[in-house]
Amino acid sequence: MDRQLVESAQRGDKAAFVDLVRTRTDRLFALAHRILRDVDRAEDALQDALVIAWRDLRGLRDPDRFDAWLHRLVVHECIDHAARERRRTANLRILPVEGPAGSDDMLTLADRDELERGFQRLSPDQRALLVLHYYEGYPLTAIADLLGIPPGTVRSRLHYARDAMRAALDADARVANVGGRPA
Amino acid sequence: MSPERDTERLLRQWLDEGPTRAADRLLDNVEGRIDRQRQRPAWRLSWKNVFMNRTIGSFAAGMAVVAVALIGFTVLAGQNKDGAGIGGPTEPSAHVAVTPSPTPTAADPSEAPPADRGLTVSFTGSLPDGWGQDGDTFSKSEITVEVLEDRSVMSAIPDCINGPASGVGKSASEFVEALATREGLEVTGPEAVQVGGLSGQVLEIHISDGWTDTCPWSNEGDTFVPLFGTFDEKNYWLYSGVVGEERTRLYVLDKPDGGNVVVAAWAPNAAEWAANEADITSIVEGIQIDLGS
Repeated sequence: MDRQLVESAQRGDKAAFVDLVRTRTDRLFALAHRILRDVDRAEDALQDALVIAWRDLRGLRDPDRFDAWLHRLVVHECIDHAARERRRTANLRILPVEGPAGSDDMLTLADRDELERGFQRLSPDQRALLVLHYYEGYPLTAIADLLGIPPGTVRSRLHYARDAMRAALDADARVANVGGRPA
Repeated sequence: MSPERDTERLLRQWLDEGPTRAADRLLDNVEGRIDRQRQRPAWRLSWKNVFMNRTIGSFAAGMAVVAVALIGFTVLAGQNKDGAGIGGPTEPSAHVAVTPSPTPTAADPSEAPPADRGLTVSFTGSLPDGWGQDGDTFSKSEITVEVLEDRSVMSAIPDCINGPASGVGKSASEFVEALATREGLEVTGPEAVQVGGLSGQVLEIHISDGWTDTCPWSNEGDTFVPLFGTFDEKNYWLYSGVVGEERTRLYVLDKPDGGNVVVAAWAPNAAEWAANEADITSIVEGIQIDLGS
């Protein structure tokens, strides 16, 4: 069914294209939001990616690869938007998040703040790697295929991004421990 | 947060939070935008590697600065020579075609950067049965003839850099020489040719027997050899390559400004090529290229 929709959309059927992406929009939006950490920017990036998908759909040789191709477009567009945002703003952008405080198994407000800070310090492509691996659950080879880079490069960049996050969390934890020590 | 807590688990938990539904207006906006967006023809158009592109983009930007500096130096040298000031008489431009803009301005067309210039393709012959024309592209099922401006030869296997080949200019002779000696290709030609009022060279290309290689970023799922590409308006590298059994004929034509026009004909295999070769030749012979006045 999807293959038929892809082929119809490739012949210029706009309704088929909209039907095709309608069932994928929520998942792609969630992906874009994880990379960009902002609803408006995620919507902008996803819109741009979907318009590009329409524009370039005839270049997709294998309709069965539509999902992988669309994912790639969305991720690249998010990286592009994030890179532009980094050039525009020097300051870190911390999103207020409500949440439970307390146990070791749950994210505290401080956890979220530290994760947000650490994440914002990463480059856009490192953020995309973390999201694809830890949110989407993609194995390294799939990420390599999606982003068009060798698996070894994915592995090393992911390793670096994870270490950067760990370092950010550890640094904040050291500050908290020192600051919280009883006199 | 205690340092020993599992970073990966926290990361997963944190990423799982957040919205998972897109607003309805998003798809409405997309529908509105695609109403105004024409689909690009089905040529080998694929997305560049963002990571590499940024490096290449920086290099290209650096080269552009050098080019601007050289042009500025040349202009200033010319002014000193003939005494004309800025805005004074200048040599007539070889062509000043500017891609039509939705917001026309009264700016001097000669100020437009080369990358923004366009060309007009017209067809003076009669299209063979089954063929259609959409702008600069002629097609019949999977057979395509397209007219492209200012393409650069692409980096070869095994480098597989998703960008232009280093040290290869855009002139027809440099272009075809680079492809004629490219590993993985079986090439016929090049031969001198004239198309639409421009001179250049033509060559026919398909992948060599026994070639099994591809580029790691290629999503074509088959044997592949990169041919040429260009950076689009958003600095994405768009490439064309030959895949599997495909046959292509490239007419690489020199523009007076040092750029090129590539008329590329594609067929999915040798049989389709043979069956449509006469049509392709006839179409190319009817193409007229207007670089502007």
